[in-house]
This record gives sequence, structure tokens and C-alpha cells, in this order.
Amino acid sequence: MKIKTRERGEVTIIEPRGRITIGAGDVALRDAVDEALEAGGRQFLINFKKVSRMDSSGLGELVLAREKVTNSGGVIKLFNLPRGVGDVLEVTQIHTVFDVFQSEEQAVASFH
Amino acid sequence: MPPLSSRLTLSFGSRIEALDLLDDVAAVWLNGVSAEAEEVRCEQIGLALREAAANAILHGNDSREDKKVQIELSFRNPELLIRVKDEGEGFDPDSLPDPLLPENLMRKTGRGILLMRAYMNEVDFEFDGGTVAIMRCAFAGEADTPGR
Repeated sequence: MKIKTRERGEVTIIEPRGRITIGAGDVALRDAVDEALEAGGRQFLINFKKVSRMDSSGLGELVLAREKVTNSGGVIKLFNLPRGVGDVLEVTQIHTVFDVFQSEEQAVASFH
Repeated sequence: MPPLSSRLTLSFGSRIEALDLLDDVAAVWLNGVSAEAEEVRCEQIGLALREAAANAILHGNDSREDKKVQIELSFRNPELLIRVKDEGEGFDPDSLPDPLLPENLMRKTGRGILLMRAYMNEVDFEFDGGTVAIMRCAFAGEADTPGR
């Protein structure tokens, strides 16, 4: 799993690619969020467009990321969820603790 | 046309790295046995299998590579049966906290069996020289999608 991070104004956009699953992808997501927080960012978006699979460990990292960002006074939101990933968030009710958007434009605009 | 029946068995040492390979092999097999099933349905079943196998590695076998995880996927139209066996001492599935309760929603772990139950019609556990997770579902197309 690869993760690219880019800035759009005040917003840090984290873009994982591949599986966010136990043993590799979950750790990569944790590292990316930690690095973005250390860099001083407080407004975060995760773009799920190229995420092919998310398992219970990936969900755990997502919950942990929200906790870390919130404890740092920041906000983290999600967008571009593929059907399978969106379904996993819904089944586990994790979607109720995140703001989820269909597009990057909507997600970025939500910070203003 | 999908085959009337098909069976796949796998056995591997308890390494988390094996799960991606299991994912890939199962996806090819699932797509092969049910030409009518949509891609997302195969992904859901693959995720249920992955969660069962991860539990077997981590909780059943304590990630000990000398302990095996045995997988059996069996399709007899229209039913799919998945068995995942470890060498652990078993557990009480009823003792696990409900991950959907508000107080558990932000817990980092504990959602694997919820996902298995969401995406399969039946999930049972037997204890016979290890834990066997037994999962069943109809597998004849999107009209049979459970859990929604």
C-alpha cells in the first residue's frame, strides 16, 4: 500500500492506494496521519478513491486517526469512498463518527 | 456458466503476510465459481474470509508460524461453505463486546466477527482440536446479498 500526502490550502489530503488491511496498510495509514500531525496540519481529508480493501484493522486505524486528530484540536473527514469501503463503514457504524463527502470539492469546501 | 460444485483447500503457517495472498487466491476462485455474482459480493465474502483467517492467526495461533491455519472453500450451487481452522484453545463468541454499542464504537479492535456475520448468512464456531469458523451463504448473485 502506498500513501501520498498533498496540501490544498490549509487542508492536508491523505491519499492511500491499495489495501488498508492488517500488517501493512493499517500501519502505513497510521504513519501518514502521525507525520501530517507532526507537520502541523489540523484539517485533514482522506481520499479513498484508490483503496481496494479495508478490513477491521484498517477500521481500527481510522478510528485511532480520528481520536489523535481530535485530541490535537483538528478535524479529519473522508471522501470518494468506493462502494465496498463505504459498505464496511456502514456495517460497523463507523460512518456515524465521520463526515463523509462524495467529492474533493465538497470535502474541502466543508472546512470553510 | 458457473460449475455445479468446486472446492479449494489451503494451509499455511500463521503469518499475517499470508492474508494478502489468501485474498488474491480466494478472489480468483470466487469469481470463477459464480459467474453471476457481482464484484462487490465477491469482495464481501473475501473480507469475511480474511477476517476469519486473521482471527485464526492472531488469536487462535498467537502468530506462531509453526501453527497452521487450514482453509476450505466449498461451493455446491447455490451454497458457499467456508471453514477456517486454527490450532488454538477456543473462545466464547458470546463473551465478546458488541462493537455497535455507543461505548464500543471508538474501540480499535473487535469488529472482525461483526463483518463476518454481516457478509455471510450463517457464522458458527466449533471447537475440535482448535477453533473452526464455519460460514455459509447463498452465492448465486446479488439478489441473495445478506446483511443489508
